[in-house]
Amino acid sequence: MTAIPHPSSFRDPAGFLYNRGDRLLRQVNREYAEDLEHLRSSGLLDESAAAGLTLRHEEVALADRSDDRGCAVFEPTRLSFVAYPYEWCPGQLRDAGLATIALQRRALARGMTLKDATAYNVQFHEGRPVHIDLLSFARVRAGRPWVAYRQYCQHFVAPLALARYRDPRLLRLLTVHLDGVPLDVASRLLPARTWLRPSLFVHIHAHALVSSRVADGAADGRARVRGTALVALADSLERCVRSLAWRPPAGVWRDYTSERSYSDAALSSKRSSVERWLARGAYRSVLDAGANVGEFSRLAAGAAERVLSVDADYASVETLYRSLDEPGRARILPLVADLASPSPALGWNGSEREPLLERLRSDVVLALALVHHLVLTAGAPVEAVVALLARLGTEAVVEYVPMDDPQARRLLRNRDSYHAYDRSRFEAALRTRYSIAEVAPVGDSSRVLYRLAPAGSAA
Amino acid sequence: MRRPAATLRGPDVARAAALAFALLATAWPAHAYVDPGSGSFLFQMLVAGMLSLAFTVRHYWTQLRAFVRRLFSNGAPDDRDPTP
Repeated sequence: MTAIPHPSSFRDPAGFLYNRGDRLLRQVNREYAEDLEHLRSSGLLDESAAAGLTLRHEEVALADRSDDRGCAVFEPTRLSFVAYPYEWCPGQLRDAGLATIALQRRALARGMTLKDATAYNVQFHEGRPVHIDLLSFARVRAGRPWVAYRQYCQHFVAPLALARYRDPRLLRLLTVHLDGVPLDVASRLLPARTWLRPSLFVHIHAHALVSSRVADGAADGRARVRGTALVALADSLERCVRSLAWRPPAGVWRDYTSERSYSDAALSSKRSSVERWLARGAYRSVLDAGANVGEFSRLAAGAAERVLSVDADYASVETLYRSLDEPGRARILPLVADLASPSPALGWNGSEREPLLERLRSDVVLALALVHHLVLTAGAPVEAVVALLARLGTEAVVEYVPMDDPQARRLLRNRDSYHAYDRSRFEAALRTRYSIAEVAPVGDSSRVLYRLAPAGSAA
Repeated sequence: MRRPAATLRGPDVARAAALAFALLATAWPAHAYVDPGSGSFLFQMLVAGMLSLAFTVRHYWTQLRAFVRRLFSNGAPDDRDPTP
């Protein structure tokens, strides 16, 4: 029975992903048979999976194929979440780039090469970047340049250089350029001093300059490079990407704690309420919305298998990503996203990349010191914020921050028109989507924590 | 450790230089349809020699350093892998 390919799996004629019941399968088409054979017999398939560079694929019965073009069928290990490069912090993009080039080097050593190098082929699985596309490998054709070189530069080198030398917020360019930042755009946006950095001069500036001056078809069948040059190119790209680390400004954590407007006692009371509430249900997934540097995401990782830690601030997310170690690393996925403007459906047919809100849905959403933020900075009425939370989490833990809280007052400076709320309006808004299961004061502060169960439930 | 099979040869340099000159001196009209993939292919051919040379030099330099280090550490094996 012919299956409908996954909406993101249509470009490569070598095969595609599809659903069979609740399983996600990958059909390998006959035209990829020889490459697949080489992938297996060279040991690259097992070796790269063992090194944690590729997602494990289990071969299943050929009877499960979608149609008669198929010569093999694999079931990839299920990912707990699919994040897109425009939702990563620079550190995640860099690690994904390093993993991709490490894979290219291993492939070259086994007579193969990556035929594409898009960042969308990398996902964070148990805290590490893994390549998810089995069909990306092709046998090296003698003398042929690396076909994915430009793509690698657009997906990794250009955005990382922009984050490092201009501003990490330029990673948002990836939302409009789904095949990576065009090199001529990157070259124009980068500061002049990057022309003096040899690796950026070569891979961005000169690359863009030459590419823009070569007509269509000019290199067809003519450009030839030696095998050693492919290794040298991979080596150079690895060094380049390694040098493009973006360091968040010092004191992100200090700012976080100094901006806190309540006492240590209040913080510890908040922590213990959240911890107690998360421990009571067997939650599989938690969304920490407005996570900042992830203090409560770490708490949640003790209770749930998968914690999405979302914040709009690159410095906070990068700080969290860099500080994660086992076991939190395997459970917490930090993501950069603005809940007031979440990433939309993108790509071919508007369905290639799913909208963020449809992916974030979790068993519980933590909205700690978030609601007042969205009310005061995004201008949303409290009822709209609660409606958004209800899309994100079946249950919720929500913090009430009164309008006279020092943090709220700081956001209110220079604003004379906003949707003010008091506690009764706040609670009425909560009751439109949830039922209030428990209420706990936040120590000696005027803040209050609510544990919210699905509307109409007795919990 | 991998050993590069070939290093840069004189004709490579001459060919790359001639091609670079031809490319940079010829500006096709900006409105012409441009295939950046072709450009990237040619560009790789241009820089391949230079990158190979840098790679080879770095390779032998690493080996030399390892050799010197071994010399001064009473022959204790150097277990650090210079290629990450």
